[in-house]
Amino acid sequence: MAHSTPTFGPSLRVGLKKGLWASWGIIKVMFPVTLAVTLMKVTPLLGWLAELFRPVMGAFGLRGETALPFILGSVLNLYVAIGAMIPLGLTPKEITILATMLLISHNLFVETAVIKGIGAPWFPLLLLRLGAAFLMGFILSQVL
Amino acid sequence: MLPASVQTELLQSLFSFLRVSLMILLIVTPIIALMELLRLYKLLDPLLNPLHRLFGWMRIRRESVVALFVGIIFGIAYGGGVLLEEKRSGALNRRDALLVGIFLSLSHALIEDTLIFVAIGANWVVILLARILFTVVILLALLFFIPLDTPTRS
Repeated sequence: MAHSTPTFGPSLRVGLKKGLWASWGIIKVMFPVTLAVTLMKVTPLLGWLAELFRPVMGAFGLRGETALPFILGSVLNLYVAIGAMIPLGLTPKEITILATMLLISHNLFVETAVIKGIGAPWFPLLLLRLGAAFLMGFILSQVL
Repeated sequence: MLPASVQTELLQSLFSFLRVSLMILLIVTPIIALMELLRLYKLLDPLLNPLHRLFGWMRIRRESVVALFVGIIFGIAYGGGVLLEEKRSGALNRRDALLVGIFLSLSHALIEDTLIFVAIGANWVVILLARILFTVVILLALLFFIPLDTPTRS
């Protein structure tokens, strides 16, 4: 294959196509989660869950329900977490705190595998991520 | 027929979902396109020296800055291929893998991941700047306990 510089127009088109595809991928992942959490909301299920996690999430100035997107995001990915946040009707402050926690702690299985792959101590770093997410959540709940 | 309250909830969720989807479409599409152009035209290469200076306080080697920067921009999961390649090629030594690991554990995929949360209404100053500040503070603290490169001079 020749190593010529690709021309700008077609490259941009390819990039935009990839971008649209990625966006569609995100939206596709979000939809069933949003639907499922909405259904949980109209049944007693979300209320029970909120009750259960109220003491934990309360430490970060968050309602108990937010444990759901935090756990889903930490285990799976941010798109699932956002899908789960949509039906909760959170305030901007709650969204900002939860977003910060999730941005530090997400997709932990996949990303920890990569961290391990580059030869970094994966277990202490996994604990660092969780600890940092909780610490930042607590700090933000106090200062925002 | 569903009760009215259930219908309201479903409609509300649907509207929020459509609004967030539109925001994601408008934000993520150009970002991915831009990252594709950066990759294709190797636009990051000229940045390596300035970046090495920017991360000078970490005492990280120039070869390792690639892995750090790829993670910061593209993330751990998406940049994973490049990160693992940097390790395989030997560019990333043990100490730098630890430094890159700490930094990326706390801050990575700074563009796309930040923006998708802006799409649902998060404050970008907090979720971006506070996160970076926090990362730098933690890393500076941990640097006290991380010795400089082991005596095996190459």
